[in-house]
Amino acid sequence: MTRLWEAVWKGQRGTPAWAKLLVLALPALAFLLVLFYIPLGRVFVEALRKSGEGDAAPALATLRDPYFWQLLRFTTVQALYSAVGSLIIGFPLGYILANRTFPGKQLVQATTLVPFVFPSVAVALGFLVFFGHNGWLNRVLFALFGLRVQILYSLWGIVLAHSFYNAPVVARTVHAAWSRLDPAYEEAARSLGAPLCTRFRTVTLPLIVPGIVTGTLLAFIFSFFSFSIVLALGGSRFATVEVAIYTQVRVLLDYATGSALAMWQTVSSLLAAFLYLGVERRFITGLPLSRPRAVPPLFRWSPLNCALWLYLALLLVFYTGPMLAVVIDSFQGPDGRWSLAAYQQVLFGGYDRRLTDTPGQALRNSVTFAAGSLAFALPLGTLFAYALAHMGRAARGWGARWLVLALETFALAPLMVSSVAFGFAALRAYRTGIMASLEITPQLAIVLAHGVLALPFIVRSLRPAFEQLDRRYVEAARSLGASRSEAFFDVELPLALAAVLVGAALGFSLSVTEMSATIMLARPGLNTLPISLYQHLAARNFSAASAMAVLMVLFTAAALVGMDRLARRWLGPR
Amino acid sequence: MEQPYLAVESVSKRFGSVQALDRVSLSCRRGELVAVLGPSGCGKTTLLRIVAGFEIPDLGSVRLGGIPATHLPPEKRGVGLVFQNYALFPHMTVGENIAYGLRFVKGLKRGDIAARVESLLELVDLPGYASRRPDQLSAGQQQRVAIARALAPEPRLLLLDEPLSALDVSLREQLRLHIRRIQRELNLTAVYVTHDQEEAMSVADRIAVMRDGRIEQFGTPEEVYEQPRTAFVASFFGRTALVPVRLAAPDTEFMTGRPGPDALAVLRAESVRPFGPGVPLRGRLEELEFLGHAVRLQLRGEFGTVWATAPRTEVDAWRRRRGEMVTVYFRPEETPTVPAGSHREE
Ligand SMILES: Nc1ncnc2c1ncn2[C@@H]1O[C@H](COP(=O)(O)OP(=O)(O)O)[C@@H](O)[C@H]1O
Ligand SMILES: [Mg+2]
Repeated sequence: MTRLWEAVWKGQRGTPAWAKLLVLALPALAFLLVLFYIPLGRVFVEALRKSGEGDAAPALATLRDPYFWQLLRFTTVQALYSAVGSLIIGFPLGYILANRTFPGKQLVQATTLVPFVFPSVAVALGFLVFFGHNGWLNRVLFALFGLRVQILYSLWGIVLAHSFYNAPVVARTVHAAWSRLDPAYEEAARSLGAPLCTRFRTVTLPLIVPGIVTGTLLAFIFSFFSFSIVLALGGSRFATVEVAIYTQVRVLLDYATGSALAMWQTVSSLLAAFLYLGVERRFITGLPLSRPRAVPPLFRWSPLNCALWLYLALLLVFYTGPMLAVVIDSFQGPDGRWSLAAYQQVLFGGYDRRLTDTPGQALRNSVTFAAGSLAFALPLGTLFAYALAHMGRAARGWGARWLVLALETFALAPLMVSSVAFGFAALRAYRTGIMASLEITPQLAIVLAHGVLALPFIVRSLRPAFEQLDRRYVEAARSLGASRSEAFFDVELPLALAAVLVGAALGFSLSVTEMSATIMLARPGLNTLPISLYQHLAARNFSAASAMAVLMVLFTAAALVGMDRLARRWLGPR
Repeated sequence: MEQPYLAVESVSKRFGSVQALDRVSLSCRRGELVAVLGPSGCGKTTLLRIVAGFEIPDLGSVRLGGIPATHLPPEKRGVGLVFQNYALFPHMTVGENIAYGLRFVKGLKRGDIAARVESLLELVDLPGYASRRPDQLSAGQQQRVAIARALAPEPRLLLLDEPLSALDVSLREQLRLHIRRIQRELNLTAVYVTHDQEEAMSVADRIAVMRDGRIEQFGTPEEVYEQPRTAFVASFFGRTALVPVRLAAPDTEFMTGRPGPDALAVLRAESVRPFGPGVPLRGRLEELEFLGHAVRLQLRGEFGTVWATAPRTEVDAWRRRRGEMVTVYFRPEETPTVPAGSHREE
């Protein structure tokens, strides 16, 4: 009992007391509770409440509806195929990044960040322009063989786009697992006489499995909850649960079905989150390698290297094709000649004002929302990550560990919960019930929603930084006379600054590229860049959409490079 | 004379700007244990990895059992390797780890494998541990499993890379005897890398002392101890002072502290005493350490710093004399010398 008391109130072995840590965690917890959990809870209530005598609650009625099961089946099947596709495309890249050097490797490595900073609606646009009926691929095929292939508006189009989008995720996790694999294991197997294939099967593969599983699982989850790509490429026939919620709420205005779908979607996304966190924790890290992995050049001749070159070349076409197509398309007029008409159109009007906002307006909106949401999320997330890191360190016994896991899940849930469901929940919550009296303006609603969605990114990038920070630095500072909070501001925060900036950059790009929650909350005058893009795309004005995409990517890239510069200046040469 | 089983001939290896090995030659006869001794970073691991086949030397060759093996892949060499941090497969049990190398031995039945795993576990004093996981074992136990695993396919040569460096002192002393016993029992040919001179002396038939990628001396433990060829080798063993001397007439005229010395006398603490006979050295008693079995004195004079050993019973007397001028003696006939040119200011 006294030990528990000490752990809670006085702290042990140089870690702050749990009570203090909980106080630090409180603002973020309250923020999420009010703006995330209560709104979602209200959706649950709506979904489970009977509308009249004899009626079943919408959530139960949905379960009896074959349409729902069909929807769920399609969502799951496409996500499974997409996960496998991502694995097939991403695995070799992860291998190459961990085991070879080649000119341009840095660039390739940087592009694996694409899914995190690139709006998926732009990917959808790229696919439309490249693989569409009159797209580049078909034009080439028609010119060469006189045939066209129908890829889009089918299951495979969606799967292909999802694989394109998520393969870099698999590549990243595989790369990480592989570079953390001590080469001594493979060498031990070799010295015991194991030939290459056996070595790979019995030693390498089992030890990088965590990387493969987490990457593929992430790809599955992202594809399961993907919105913009399906919205843009699914046509009228193919919809996932996410898209169905949007259609029910924003098009058909059927809030009952909308809340039922949103509820089930939330349940499944929380299950997925739990599954993911469980798998991720099995990643054993921290052990330093006995020697760095050898990374021989890819240029050296060997059959494997030739295959890898071929693969990289295909990857280049697959990835640059759609992007290049978008850029070129944006410079083409309706007659196929070079022109700046599309840019003129999106920049200086000549478009339908009822359709969408001007790019200037969209840009202004995007910047406001991003800055506003970071102003909330960054301090809250930093404090929370700090508290979580120290609790995780001090946690002994299963009770404490479960508390830490529960807190972590609580804060990370927005990352995993379907954004459309959340957008819908926010939409309902801010307009009805107690919160209606707060008179949250639509602008503020979007800012808060982005803050909720950015928070987990910030927590995730900061927690390891605080966790890995050698606690002797703090002890040194304190032994030299600093108070606990002075030690935090003088030692811990500066050392974690790089991670804070990474978190800020992630939060920023999330806010700028976010479309699913935003589209639920947006209204004319509040459209962001991706929504504007989608509206051009939905109006089948591909050139304008392309011009919009180019502007948007340029803006995002400029902002991220600017942040990077800033970070380097602050952090100094390291 | 019998042909050595392992013959490393004039091997050089460079990593970028670092010359990790510079014309290193080493041989190891059947049933012999050769220790490679040197400070960290001198190239010991690189040498071992070349013998194991994980690195290809830039120059020179490796022969195993008389057959050129420089370019032979590691899995075809029949060379067992015990890694510095063991590298036990974390996803396999102890038994599976040991059995791993037996998968590639032709004609072994399942029952044979199980029996062999159990007998290897007995050999390393871990009977009944087959179903444990490596992370459930202590460092010392992991170390022994690593040895059992390397021995399982009956390698013709066993390489050990600082096998005990992660363990504490008493365990190290116990395990090095254990390793030596196994090596004798199985008549293994082995190369044992270490940076601990005492460990090298205790386990090895012959010691190769390395420094900066070169072998400075290769000989029996007695040879490298009693007849060091360079100042580096001399100062590697024990608390040793190197005092410039002039070899005017050997045995009689060791004249210390003069300019233009011919040689350096290797004065080990245990062979310098505070009583005659011998050549006297006079200096101020700076420090003394009570070692339990003896007292070690540190003197500073015009010749530099010298250590001497006094009987343990005199500890109080010496404590009182701290700071005074004292005289100690060494016997020229039992004092090796090394060429003055081999001295290096550290
Ligand atoms: N793969 C490598 N790449 C670059 N330098 C290396 C590599 N392996 C060893 N070295 C360098 O070669 C030298 C000898 O290393 P090593 O053989 O590991 O020494 P030891 O085992 O005696 O401590 C060191 O300076 C080390 O940094
Ligand atoms: Mg070494």
